Parts: sequence; structure tokens; C-alpha cells
Amino acid sequence: MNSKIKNKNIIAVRNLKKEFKEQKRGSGIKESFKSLFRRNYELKSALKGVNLNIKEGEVLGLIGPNGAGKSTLIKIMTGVLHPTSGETDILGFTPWKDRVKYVSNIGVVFGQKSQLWWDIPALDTFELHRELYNIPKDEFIKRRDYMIEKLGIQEIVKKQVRQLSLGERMRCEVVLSLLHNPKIVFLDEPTIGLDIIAKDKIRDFIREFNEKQNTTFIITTHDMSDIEELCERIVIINHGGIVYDGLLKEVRNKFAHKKIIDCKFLKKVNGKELKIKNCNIIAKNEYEVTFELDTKNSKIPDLIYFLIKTFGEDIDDVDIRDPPIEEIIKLIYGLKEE
Amino acid sequence: MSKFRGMFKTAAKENLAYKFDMMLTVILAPISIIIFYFLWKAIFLNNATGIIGGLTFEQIITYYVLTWLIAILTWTDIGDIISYDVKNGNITKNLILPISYLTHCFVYNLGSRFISLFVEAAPIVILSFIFFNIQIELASLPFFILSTILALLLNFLMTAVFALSAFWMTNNRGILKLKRVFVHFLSGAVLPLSFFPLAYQKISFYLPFQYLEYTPIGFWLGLYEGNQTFIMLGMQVVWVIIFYILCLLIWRRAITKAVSVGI
Repeated sequence: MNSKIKNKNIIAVRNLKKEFKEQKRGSGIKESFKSLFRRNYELKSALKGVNLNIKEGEVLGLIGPNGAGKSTLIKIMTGVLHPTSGETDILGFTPWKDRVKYVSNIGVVFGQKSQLWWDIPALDTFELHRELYNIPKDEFIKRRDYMIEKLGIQEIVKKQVRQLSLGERMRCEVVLSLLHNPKIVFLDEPTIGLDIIAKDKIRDFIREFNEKQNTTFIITTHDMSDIEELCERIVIINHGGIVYDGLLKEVRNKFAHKKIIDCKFLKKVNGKELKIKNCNIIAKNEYEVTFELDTKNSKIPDLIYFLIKTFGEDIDDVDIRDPPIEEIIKLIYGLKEE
Repeated sequence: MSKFRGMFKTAAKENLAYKFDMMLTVILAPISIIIFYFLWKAIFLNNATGIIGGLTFEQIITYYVLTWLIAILTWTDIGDIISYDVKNGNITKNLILPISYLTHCFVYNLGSRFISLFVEAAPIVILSFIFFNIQIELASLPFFILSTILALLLNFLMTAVFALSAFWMTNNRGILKLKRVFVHFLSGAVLPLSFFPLAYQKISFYLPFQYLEYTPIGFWLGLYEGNQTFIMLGMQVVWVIIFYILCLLIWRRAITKAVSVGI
């Protein structure tokens, strides 16, 4: 919980649209030649009128399936892309118009694209950023050394970047994005390809930075554990629009009408006794059965009553839980466009 | 200013990253000059007058050494960089830095030229003084330096204008190659302008190409006297301004076209 979230909006996105011209062509050498003479273009709508408000100090999870439009949204918010129409106000700037001034206030990590210079050690890129962002020297050294120690990369930052492993490089990227103490940080897949310990380090680090500096983080990821560990609020994008914007814990109530019930028995059970209305068996072995209950049509007490009536003392254990968040997200991604 | 200093230093560091590559670069120009030396020696052996295109053998060699020198000092790979950045979506990471993209490229270019000054240009000059007896009037030196800096600016801006076509075409390597071949020839880098038809020699005054190579070389050789010195420098400045404006106009259109792949 971050108690420091004020009511101050620092990001306001209004009716943002982006259309791309996309080349349509077949595959194969024949089609390649054909495309030299005649080209068919198709207008593709990547964003269809997005509205979004983000408050200072929030850690927002931005998720969506591949091709849903989240990269496009991030690129517009970081000033890289010009939208087709719509307005965006971030810290009083229109990102793509005041780009050079605006970007001094933000930090960006693109997990798949290195910001570090490839042929020199990360320390040298840090030094470059000190001069690019005009960071006072003592402040720079203090923050840099603090972050290096926190992430345990004292030796790593001295090596040529091309020799680093993905996890090592990623930690350097995170440091780089925070050196100028930006107000807003965009993290795109910050933990991609990292082992559990490295992931934890980066997450702890983000959490701490958010709490201490009240930095706003916008995180896109496909790793739901990132979201569960860091974000209170999530925004789900699909088909170029926002399909959910709200608290993470309320996603379940809105989209998931299911409960998972794990039952352990003391004796062997067979399929016949287990036929229950509105209740699917999703996993089963001789002594254990996992049910999935549709809470729209059926109630948990009904199931428990049934179990006790049928098996009585033969029940060893019952565990009732929510389906994993991945399942819910999968469900939302699968929803058809309205 | 500190932005530029940072970029400049980084470029220098990057250029110093590979020892073996650098050693090769050091000997590349001298080898090429030696080959050229023997080629022209053979040509002059079959020429009774000892003068070709108005130049003596010594002058030709001097000219060729100088084309190398200018080429090294004004060299830019902005064409390939922009092409690559646009095609691979790499431009994204440059656009999130608080510095204009073209400025960033230019300062980077300056940084790499600074290293080349010592690693590539200095060996050529030293070798040429020793073996080819090349000379320069001390009075010409400031004009030569000034003219070379203007040529560097002009070369960068002209290449950038062509390279920005990548925003529309994605792959613009064809355009860049075409530009390279034409400009290389018309600038006097292959043959001195005195070898060209008289008509072109006259027109070339009004075209930007000779200001990339031939003009700085001319200053070294002391071809310009009195008023001509300032006319030639003035023409270089005019072309720099024209291409600067062109570059800005095209950049403003180009940036709205930026579509980078993936993220």
C-alpha cells in the first residue's frame, strides 16, 4: 500500500487514436515479385480512443495480449510516436510535441531493447546520462552507488555490456532509467527472462523507489506475478481499447464467477459419486478431486453440504480458493470485441 | 553543452573499444595510397609531357593523399545509422533521450572523427611528409581547417537529407548507394575537377558537390587567392545553411511517420 498517493493526476490521456497503414501481401517468391508492382494497404487501428488517468505515486500494471495496443500506447506516452488523434497531458507536456523537454522527466526501460551502449561498460553509459540529463555530480554519484549496491552489481557495471547475461544487463538498465530521478518510469517487461532471485531484487527495488521517491511506475508485463507483487491497479488493453481499469483484487469479482475446490479423501472415490450440478471436475486421482464451481448458478455451501452428505467422515481436507489470476486474464483476453 | 560533451566522449570510447579493428584502420589508407602511387607512376611512364589533366605526377599524388585526408576527416555513417535505426525500430531508444536525434548523431559523428584524427589522419600526414614530400603553406592552414569543418557539416547534413527517406521507405539503402556513387564522383574525390569537362567545372561552382572534397583540397594546394578564398568559404556556408534548413523541414515530417517495429 502506498499511502502517499495524492489525488494529483499526472497523466491524462483523452480519446487517443492511432492508425497504421499496413502492407497486405502473400508469402512466397511469386507474391514478393507481385508486391513490387502492386501493393495493397490496409488501415489498421491500433488504438481506438483510449482514456486513461494516472495519479502521482501509483504503480500501474498495463497488461494485454500481444498486438493489443499496449506498446503503441507506451510509445505515444513516451513521446516516440505521434498519435492519429486525441490528447495526452503528462506533467503538463504533450509528449510528442515537447519531446526533448518532456523526456528529461521520465525514465524508460524497454526489456527487449537495450538503452546501454553495447561496446562500453554500463558505468560509461551512466556517465553519459549524467551529462545528457544534467545531473549534479554528487547527487549522481550518491544515487548511482546506492542503486548499484542495492542490486548487487558492483562488478557487473565495469564489464563491457555485450558480455553481460540478460539478467545482469536488465539490472543495469533499471539503474540507468532511474539515474535522473524521473517522476514517471515506464517499464516494459522489466523482468523478462530473469531468474526468481533477480526478479525479486528488481521488484523490491521498484517498490522501494516508489515508496521513497513517490515515483510513478507504469509496468507492462506478461508475468502476472510482477503485477501481483507490485500493482494495486491494473489496466487491461485488448483490441485497441481498455477493457478493464481498476483494482487488481476486483478483477476477479468482475470477470471470474468461479471457485476452485480441492478435496482430499481417506478412501478411493470413483466418478459416479461425484456428479454434481454446475460443478466441473478439472483434476482427479484416486484420493483427490479438484472441482470448479460456477458461482453464478451454484453456491459453495451446496457443494459442501453435498460432500459431507456423500462422504461424511471420509473427507480428509477441503481447500476453497480463487482461480489463479492467469486464468482470469486468459478469460479476459479471450473475450470477443464488442 | 554538457550533453554534447557526454555524447562526444561516449563516441570516442566506443571507437576505441576494438584494438585489432583500429590497427587495421591505421594501415588501410597508407596501403591504398601506395597502390595509387604505383598506378599513376605507370600511367605517367607512358606520357611524354609529364602532365595529365594539367597536373604533374607529384601534384596528382598530393591530390590523392589529400582526398584520403578529407574523406577521413569528413566521413559520416549517419546514412547507415538512420537506416538501421528506422528499419529495426532502434530509433525508439534514441527518441527517449533528452537530445534531438540528429544532434545526437552529429555529436557522435564528431566524436568518432576526433579519434580518426589521431588514428587515421595523423599517420597519413606523417607518412606523406616523409615519403611524398607533401607541403603546405602555413598561411593556407587556417583556411584549410575551416573549409574542412564546413565540408564535414555539409557532408553530414547532405547525407542526413537522403537518409531520412528511410522514414517513408523503411529500406533506403538503394538511395544511399546511388547518392554515395554520384557525390563521390562529382565532389572530385575520384579525379580532380580539372579532369572534368569545362562545362561541369563551371556549373560545379553552383552545385554543392565540390564543396565536400575539392574545395578544402584547393585550400591546402593554395588554389584560391584574394577574394576567391572568401567566395569559396561563403559558398560552403550557403550550402550548409540550405541543407540545414532542408534537414529540419524533412525531419519534422519524418518524425510523424515513425513506426517502430515491436517495442
